[in-house]
Amino acid sequence: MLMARSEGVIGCETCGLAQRATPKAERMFCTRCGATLHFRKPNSISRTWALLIASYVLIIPANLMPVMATGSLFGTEKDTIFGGVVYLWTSDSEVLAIILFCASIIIPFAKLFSLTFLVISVQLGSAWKPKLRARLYRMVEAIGRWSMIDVYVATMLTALVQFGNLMNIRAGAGAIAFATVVVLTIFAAKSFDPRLIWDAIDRSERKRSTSEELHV
Amino acid sequence: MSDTSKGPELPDLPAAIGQASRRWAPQIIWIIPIVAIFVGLGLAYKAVVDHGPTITVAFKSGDGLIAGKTFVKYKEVNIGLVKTVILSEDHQQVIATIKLDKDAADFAREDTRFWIVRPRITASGVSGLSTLLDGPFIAADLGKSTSKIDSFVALDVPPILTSGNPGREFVLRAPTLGSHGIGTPVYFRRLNVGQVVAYELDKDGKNISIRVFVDAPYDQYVTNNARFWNASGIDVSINASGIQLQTESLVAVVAGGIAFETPQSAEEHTDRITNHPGKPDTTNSSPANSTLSERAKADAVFTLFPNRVIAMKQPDTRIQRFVLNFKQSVRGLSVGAPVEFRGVNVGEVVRIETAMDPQTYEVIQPVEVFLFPDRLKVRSMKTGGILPPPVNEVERIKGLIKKGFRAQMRTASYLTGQQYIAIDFFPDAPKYTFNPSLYPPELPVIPSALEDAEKTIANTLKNTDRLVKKLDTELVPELNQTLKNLNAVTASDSPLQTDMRDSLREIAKAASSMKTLTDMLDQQPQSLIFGKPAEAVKK
Repeated sequence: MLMARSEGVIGCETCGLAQRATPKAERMFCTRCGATLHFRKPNSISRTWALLIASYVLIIPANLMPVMATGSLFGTEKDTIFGGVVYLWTSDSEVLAIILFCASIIIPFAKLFSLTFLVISVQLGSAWKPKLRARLYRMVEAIGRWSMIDVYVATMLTALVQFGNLMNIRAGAGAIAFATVVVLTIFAAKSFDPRLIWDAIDRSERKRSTSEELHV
Repeated sequence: MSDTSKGPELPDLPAAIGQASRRWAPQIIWIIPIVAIFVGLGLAYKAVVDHGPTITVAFKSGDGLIAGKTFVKYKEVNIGLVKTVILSEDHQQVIATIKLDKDAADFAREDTRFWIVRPRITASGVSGLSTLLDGPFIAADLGKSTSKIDSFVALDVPPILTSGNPGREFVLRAPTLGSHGIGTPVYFRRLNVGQVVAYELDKDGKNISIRVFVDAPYDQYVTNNARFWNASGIDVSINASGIQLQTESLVAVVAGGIAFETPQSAEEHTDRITNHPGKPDTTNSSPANSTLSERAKADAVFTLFPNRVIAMKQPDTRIQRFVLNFKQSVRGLSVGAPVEFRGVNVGEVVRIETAMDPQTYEVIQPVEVFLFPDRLKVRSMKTGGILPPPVNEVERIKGLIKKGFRAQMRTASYLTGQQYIAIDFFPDAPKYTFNPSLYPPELPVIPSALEDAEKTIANTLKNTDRLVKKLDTELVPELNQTLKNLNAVTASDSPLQTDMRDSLREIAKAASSMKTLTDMLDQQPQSLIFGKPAEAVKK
């Protein structure tokens, strides 16, 4: 299989010009537009790991701390994400409860686990079902930003519902943690280079073919 | 698959600009997880540090308790939140698990009190109105104990006082609760200075202990000699000075109350004599071993008197017990009847019994009395000053009895037949030897004046009766006969009558002769000497 990298050809990500890579140069610039050129995203694995670890740390307070504090004449109520799910479920809005549960709890965790799986599999040089893994990556990237809906709702309510003592809503620390988790996972997905999945395939194939040649 | 070396020929491509010198580039991206870890650790640390204790409180009813919604408040500040509300294992109580805030961790003390605040309307006011909108909350009152526990039993009703109020608590002992309840005001000179906070029946069921709380600074007026009395209601007393109406404030009349005051003359009664012929009464609860005018300690015990007059009586610190063996009816004498010495109240009747000698079948009425020897003051005849009471009481009693010191039952009111015991000196009384080994010692009695009078009257009546009978049987027939005879004598044809008439006639004749004689003598006085003239004789 012919790979751009193995042929020493590099494409500018900005202007799209294909050009020959300078061997032994650490940094390359596009001859036409001057943008930095990479064969692969630089430090993709370690960057993804860094962002993933930060997300893992912050997803704990995001779920344990209140996302919204509703103050009214009748006292202040603080709700966590899971508290909201339980409230919706017990107040007979099962569908909304399921939506909230999926969007705010399942998806962030699923994203984190998926990215972790992808990074580990790439690091191990696994050749297991690359197409499936590539599809998983595309899903993670596409779905990522939708978890921000929760944060948007909290932000909008906080901005709009400010009636002094009568009723006011404040965003809790959990909301900030949650938003950070969502942003960090989006960046983690961005910093992960899906071409690494195929590099492993490429390497293993080349290894096989050379060994075949040797045996022949 | 395909040979890499034999790939399709690529067109000539421009070469990228290469830069050999690689600057040291630290991976800035790792700052993010480090910051995140620090933030996470910070939050975790805060959560651990802020983690207050979890306690359980047992309620009689779970009305209004909502897990995750009902707060625990102290001075209207949230200090905790109800986490779960479950039934106890025996289904008799509702157990709420409460997570206290970190800064309220020391509320988990043994004597901290919890209760549910609901809207309440009582005689003393309306409270808990905010819970109409908010729903009930659990109020807490911080205890003072140092031992920590984590399971509590909630109060059924809110306590009247919370520990924040300065002041002191005292215990009043009364035979009945009367009209007092929790919240009953305590008055000092008609000023509301405190209230009843609790009451309970003694274990033996004989008395009620009422706990009152007197607010600072008024608690300093509760001295060891303070008297508490029942100020509820209206006291109407009728005596020689007219009708007396005594009330506390109108609120006390309606809602009841307790008043206290320190008697003015308390300072005089600082001496204390222990040599009693009779044992001192154990119910006399005046605090010993402390100066009376000193401030009472918290939780000091006082007696609750039924009214002010009784409360303010001189404290009878010494009590002598005597028995009076009456051989007459004690009808009209009641327990509590006064014992008076020449009109001064010196004691009271405490027990009236009847006793029989099994051998002789002689029945006596032993009446036990308390005498308050301090009321019989010992006074110097020269200076008029009060001397300390004699030390040897037995000798004193012996001497008094020798001089004729006797008890007597007297009628206080002929209208109602009320009796009282009078003590006085009867020098003519029969001799009596005082026996100090008896308990209670006997004070000799002499029959009452009325008893004597009764006897005399009875005797008189008996004699009169006899006399009347005699008259009836002996005198009346004779009298009859006499009358009959008299009648016979005075009849118009009786010889006596005739004789009398004749006699009267003779007397009249004699009178006229007398007149003739006097006339003649008047005209011719010489005739007395010379005799009658001839012609006169002729005439």
